Amino acid sequence: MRGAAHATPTVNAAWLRGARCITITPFREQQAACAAWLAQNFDLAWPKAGRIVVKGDLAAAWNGPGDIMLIDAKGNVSIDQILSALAGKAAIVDQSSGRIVIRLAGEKARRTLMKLVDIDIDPTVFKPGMGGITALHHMSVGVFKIADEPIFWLHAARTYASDVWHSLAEAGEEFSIDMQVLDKG
Amino acid sequence: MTHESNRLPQGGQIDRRKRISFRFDRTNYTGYKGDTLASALIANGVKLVGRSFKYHRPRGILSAGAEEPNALVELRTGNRREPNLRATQVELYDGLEASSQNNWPSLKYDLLSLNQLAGPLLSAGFYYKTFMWPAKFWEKVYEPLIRRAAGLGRASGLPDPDIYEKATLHCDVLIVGAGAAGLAAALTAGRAGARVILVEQDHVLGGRLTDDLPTQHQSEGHTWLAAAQDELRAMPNVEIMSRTSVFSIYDQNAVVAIEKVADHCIEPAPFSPRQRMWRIYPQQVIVATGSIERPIAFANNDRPGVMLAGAVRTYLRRFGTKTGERIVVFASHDGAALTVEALHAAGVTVVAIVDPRENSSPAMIAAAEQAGASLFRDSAVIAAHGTADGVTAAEITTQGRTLTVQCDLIAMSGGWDPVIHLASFLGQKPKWNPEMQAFAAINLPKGMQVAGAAAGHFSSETAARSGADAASHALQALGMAGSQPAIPGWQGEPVQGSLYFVAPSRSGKSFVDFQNDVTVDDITLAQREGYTSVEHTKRYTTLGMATDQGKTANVVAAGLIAEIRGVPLAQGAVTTFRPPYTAVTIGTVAGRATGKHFRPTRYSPLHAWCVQMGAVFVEAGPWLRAQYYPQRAGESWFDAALREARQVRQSVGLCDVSTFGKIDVQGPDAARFLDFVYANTMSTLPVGKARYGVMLREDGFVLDDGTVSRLGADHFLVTTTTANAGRVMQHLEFCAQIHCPDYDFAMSSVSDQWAQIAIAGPHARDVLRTIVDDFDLSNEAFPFMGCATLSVCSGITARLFRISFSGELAYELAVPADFGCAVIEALAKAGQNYGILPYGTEALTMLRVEKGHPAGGELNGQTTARDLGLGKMMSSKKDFVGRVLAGRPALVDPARPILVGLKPCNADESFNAGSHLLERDAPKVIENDLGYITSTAFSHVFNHTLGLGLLQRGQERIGETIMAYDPVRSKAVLVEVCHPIFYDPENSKVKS
Amino acid sequence: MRLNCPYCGTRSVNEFVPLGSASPKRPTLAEPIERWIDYVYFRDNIAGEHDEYFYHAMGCRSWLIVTRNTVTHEIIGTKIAREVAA
Repeated sequence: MRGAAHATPTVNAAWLRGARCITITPFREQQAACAAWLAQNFDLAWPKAGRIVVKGDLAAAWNGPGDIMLIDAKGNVSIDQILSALAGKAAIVDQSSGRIVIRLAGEKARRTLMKLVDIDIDPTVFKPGMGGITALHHMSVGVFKIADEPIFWLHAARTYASDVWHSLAEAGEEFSIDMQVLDKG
Repeated sequence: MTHESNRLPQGGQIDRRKRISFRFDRTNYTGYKGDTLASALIANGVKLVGRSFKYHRPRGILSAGAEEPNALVELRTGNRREPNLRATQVELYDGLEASSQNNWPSLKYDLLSLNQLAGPLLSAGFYYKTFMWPAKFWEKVYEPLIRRAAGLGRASGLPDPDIYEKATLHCDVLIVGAGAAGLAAALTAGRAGARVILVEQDHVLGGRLTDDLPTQHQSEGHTWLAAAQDELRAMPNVEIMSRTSVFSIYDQNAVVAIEKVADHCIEPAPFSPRQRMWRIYPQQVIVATGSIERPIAFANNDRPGVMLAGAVRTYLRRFGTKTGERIVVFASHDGAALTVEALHAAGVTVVAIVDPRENSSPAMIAAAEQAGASLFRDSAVIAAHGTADGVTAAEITTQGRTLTVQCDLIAMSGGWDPVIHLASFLGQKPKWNPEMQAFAAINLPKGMQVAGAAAGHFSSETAARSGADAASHALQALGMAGSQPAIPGWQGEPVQGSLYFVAPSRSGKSFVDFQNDVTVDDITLAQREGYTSVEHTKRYTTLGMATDQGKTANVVAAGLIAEIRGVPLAQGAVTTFRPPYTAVTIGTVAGRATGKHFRPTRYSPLHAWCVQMGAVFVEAGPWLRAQYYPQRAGESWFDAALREARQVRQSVGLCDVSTFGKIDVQGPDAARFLDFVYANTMSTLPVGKARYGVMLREDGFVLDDGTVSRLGADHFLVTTTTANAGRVMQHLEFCAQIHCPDYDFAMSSVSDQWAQIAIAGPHARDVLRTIVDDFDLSNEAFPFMGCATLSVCSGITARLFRISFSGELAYELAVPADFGCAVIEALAKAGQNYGILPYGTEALTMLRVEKGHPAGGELNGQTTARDLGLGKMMSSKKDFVGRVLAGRPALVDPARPILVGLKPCNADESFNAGSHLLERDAPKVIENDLGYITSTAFSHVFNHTLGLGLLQRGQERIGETIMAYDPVRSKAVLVEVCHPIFYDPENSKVKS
Repeated sequence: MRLNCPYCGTRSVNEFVPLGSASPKRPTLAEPIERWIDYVYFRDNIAGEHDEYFYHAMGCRSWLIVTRNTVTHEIIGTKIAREVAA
């Protein structure tokens, strides 16, 4: 916890340490096939630009033109399963060690986040299912809104984790941010 | 001075239930919540608050706002002490401590005021005419003296203990200023459902709305104000930011504002920032920043007790305090009639009204009659009489004679200047508007409007209407519509006036710029000496260059210059407007990016293990890399690195090489793409093999080098140097998207995904063998430059690359970063029997220099593949980036310096990278330069320094003796030119 | 300054890396070296509307062609470089 000890936390950040992240970049004319596979196996639609599709602890987040990132908060998805299904149809790259996934939630989550990113996160325009990749200070992060409460998912490069965590703590200390590590979602 | 002697028994917007104690210049006073430091001092009868910059003249409070030039104070003590704050904008809080500035030993008895005797020598531009002779006195005598005497306030010099942060907001309509116009605009836009941000620098809303209404309309004005605030506060789409000052504006109307979160408290709440910088991105901006009253220049107009007429009524109406007992009003503008009326209503005697206008005006005549004041038409106050304790009389010229009227306050008004800074910061110079009698903002950027007094609508009613209209206009541009608020008909507000800048001259200083002590005479002198452009006048006299940026001076000066030059004011000009509007603390600009966190640090996934092993780290760009591993406290890097390098060559070592860039390239056209970006050919690389590659820039120089490994028919892994990882990725994306848009493949950075460990030395295979799961590591099965996917430590997916930077038998093992520490620990444990040691960047340098491997020093952006002995790598069979220009005459010139090795002729001598190479007996001048040394390291194998460098005709000169010259350290060493690969040139070790 | 990335929306210019004029086109190997020198080194310094490359480094990593007026700073339009090149 960071901030005034006796105050009730109104924002919490959880590092989803067990999360898996896998990027899927379909080759030419293979997106339809990959989208069909994603729908059949995970009940997720292929996300358009600036969107994330969520089903429980699994999400497919837009990661660039022609590129999506599968985020599994609980770490159950196996890359081998995906490789065998989509080999030759897409570039499949495991980024589970390369990215950290953070869930930011609570009444003051938005006021915390507005100190970190420059995009418009007002609830009237930034709704669940929206997001993208933007700058958090001098680092590139994915920022997606998962629910109205609000709940946000952030993903960042692992080698910058220390600074991302530190910046979150600073931004949230005014609100007594609660910070924890979750190993299984 | 008695206890709040000037405070009126009732009235004002202060909270009389909350008494506040404060100190000014070590004297205790009281005030109320809602006071500013200025209003509280005035209430306590304090007249003298500062000493002027140059002449140390006694000064009092002139205004009630951001334009205050005189009442600059130092606030707080210790590490929060802050100089140059305007007392008119300091919110009073309990326990406040403030001091006056620029005086010694005290405000009342300031010895530095003896400056004034040197007055004639300190006139405009004196800096350009003095302190010049003798030249050598400048550094030792004049400059130190000037520095000691210069400046107004003192910085604390101590570390700032407070938190500052930054945040971002977006909106549809941004309204700057919450006076009549701003409030009306906010109501209109808010009612339409637009996202509105209303920013106000003061801690209360309303601006001059009630200050500028006659007594009869006061109550109605307050009611309207209260209702407007209630309505706005109830709208969820409206954000009101008070104590927030917009200080600058940028392209597309992006704005930056500073919120003073805790400046009105003794200190910020724990974990709370003191100030916050807001970046606000609006679709539409309405600048409703009001106007500033203009003084009149007359002799001694800087005496304590000369104030702006509008401020006098603000102190009455808002703060419930008189500013004097016997007032003389000197005004060419009817707004002053409001002051007369307000004074009279408060029971203060107005002795005289001095109006330069020939016939005065009905408003002024009525005000004089009501207050029982003598009205002097076609007259002027030509001097203020008084002392440091205040004004005692006004000297008036009227009907050809001069008379002196006793008074203790002169309330002056030359008119009102719209605050147009924000509308001018993007470079649009304002234009003189004769109807408005003011400089008006023109050529506004798209999406910006100016409303209210800032647009020349000087009455509360017309200001409000113009604000509502501006909002309607903004809504229309956004495709929305809203209803305007009802605005009472506060008619008859006196807003007429005549331009009047300077009273008839009389001996004594007439101030134009109070803060920088610039007088009418100074400006006249500048004109006479030929500095006729206002930009020249400004720099020559320092007009407008103080912390107030000439808010009360620039227009008076413009008027004066026009009069002197005999041109209409329309042709006069004001100088360029530049942000910030008011001063900004450096802390807010830094925000949280201070100390170590001024930029992010990247940590290798093996960082924790390196720390455990006692590594000393070095910054390599954003990374921390293990530099060396001392085995006892205080061991030098040299001794540690020597030990590490020796152990690698004799047995085995482990190095964290995770920081190198790694890029995954996959797809049907992956090979074809790599052929395009590398100088050599990658499509011929067999699966399971790795190849050294060189990437050029389009100008033919080397961009980066690295290794390409083929993991599958359509699957490659590309590595880059640590420093160039980002640059190379950007370059590859450019090539892919612009040069090869139809190639079917995908690229991903996997630098963070993989921890990478180099295992190097004769026992590397032995150590590695203990952790690989069922993989044949023999030289036959897995030869030099092989790559494979395998598993280690009972099931961890890994990639193995048999490449060597050190020149020994070596492997690089990549494992997912999460397993990095566990795997390197396993390797360390497995290597214990072989005395395995971790090695850092210093040892790495020793090893690779011995092996002649180009690295950062050689890949300096000025070398070509051919320079580095890699010319044969460039394919002639394909197009690749940089191919054509790499072949241009200058880059294939045989005289061009190329890579050689260098060793000292005397083994006890050493040389530095950067040293230049010359013929051994040549004079040490640039014409004789033959090249330079790019890298050096001490070699434990050869027991002397080795170097790599670039030498003209280097290949032909192997065996010759030349000179290495370091002009910085004045060191010259004889060196022998050798082949760059010193150690094991047949590569027998790496292939073992 | 804010740029409109067609994929990501309007973003601060700090998310982008500029690379100068987008007008020059890479010559073919058959063209003389003077064309290559021109391509690598020479640029028109335009006062007015001008196409520039920007790389959305902190976003979707797309290269964009931004038409911008260098005098008024107005951004006239943004295109996806890959689509223009193809």
